[in-house]
Amino acid sequence: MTRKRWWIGAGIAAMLVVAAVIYYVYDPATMPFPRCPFLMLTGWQCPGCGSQRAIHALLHFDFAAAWRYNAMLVLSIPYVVLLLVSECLGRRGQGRLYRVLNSEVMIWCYFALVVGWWILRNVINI
Amino acid sequence: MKHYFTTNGERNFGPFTLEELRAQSLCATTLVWHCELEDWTEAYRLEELADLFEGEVIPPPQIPTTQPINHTDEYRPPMPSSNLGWAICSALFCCTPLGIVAIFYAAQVESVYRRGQYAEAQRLADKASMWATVSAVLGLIYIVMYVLIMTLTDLV
Repeated sequence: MTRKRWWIGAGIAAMLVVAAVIYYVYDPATMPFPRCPFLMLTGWQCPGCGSQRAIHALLHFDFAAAWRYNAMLVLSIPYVVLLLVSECLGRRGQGRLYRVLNSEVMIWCYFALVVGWWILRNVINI
Repeated sequence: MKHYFTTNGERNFGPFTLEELRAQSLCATTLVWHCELEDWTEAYRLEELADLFEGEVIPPPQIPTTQPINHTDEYRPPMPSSNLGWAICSALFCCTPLGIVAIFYAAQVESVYRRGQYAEAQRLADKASMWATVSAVLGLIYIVMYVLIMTLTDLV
């Protein structure tokens, strides 16, 4: 079981490194990177639209550009990193950090934020 | 000198000396107690009586009457992981808004767990994971298809 977890973790890490290299070298703004299917189908932006360009900008430490492309992504990365850290520290509801990050209030706030962001970006076109 | 007691579940009998007890027609499963025993014990389990039941088939114990399972104190499984990190990543990176559904389920895990509905909490956590996975797989399929079609049209 722990061995399996280890392999999954190693696989994800390897994929992240490959993805980071790809997104560092190629700029999704100029290269024919996949466009968001939700945007193509509906004409509306989804909460993740712009995240590829934002990652490229982040990898080049251009935080202002990343914020313009997808502010939600920039805001979410620290949360995801903290979640990962808490998962390693003490999962299963024992760790204090884990409890706070996974508390109902936190997740509902985040949920409202994402949905609000989804609506807002289509209304004022950001 | 030990004093033995027996019980039929309603009334206790005794005290008896060991000889008096052995003289009675005990069943293997008759409940016996003496001061060194913590609880009523089936006669065949006691060393000093075991020889009475040699070769006898010991009937299985009665099935305990079903009681409503009280989860609140005795059985508390660990809180399932809400899979929130996975849900957020799939919502923001995988080109499909399905990850939002995953966040929606992840948000409910804790409160349901606190209410003691452990199976339901696990089910919600699994649902969060499932939607995140669906979102990721669809996103991956889409990306691969997209790249394939782009390279093919470029070649043509």
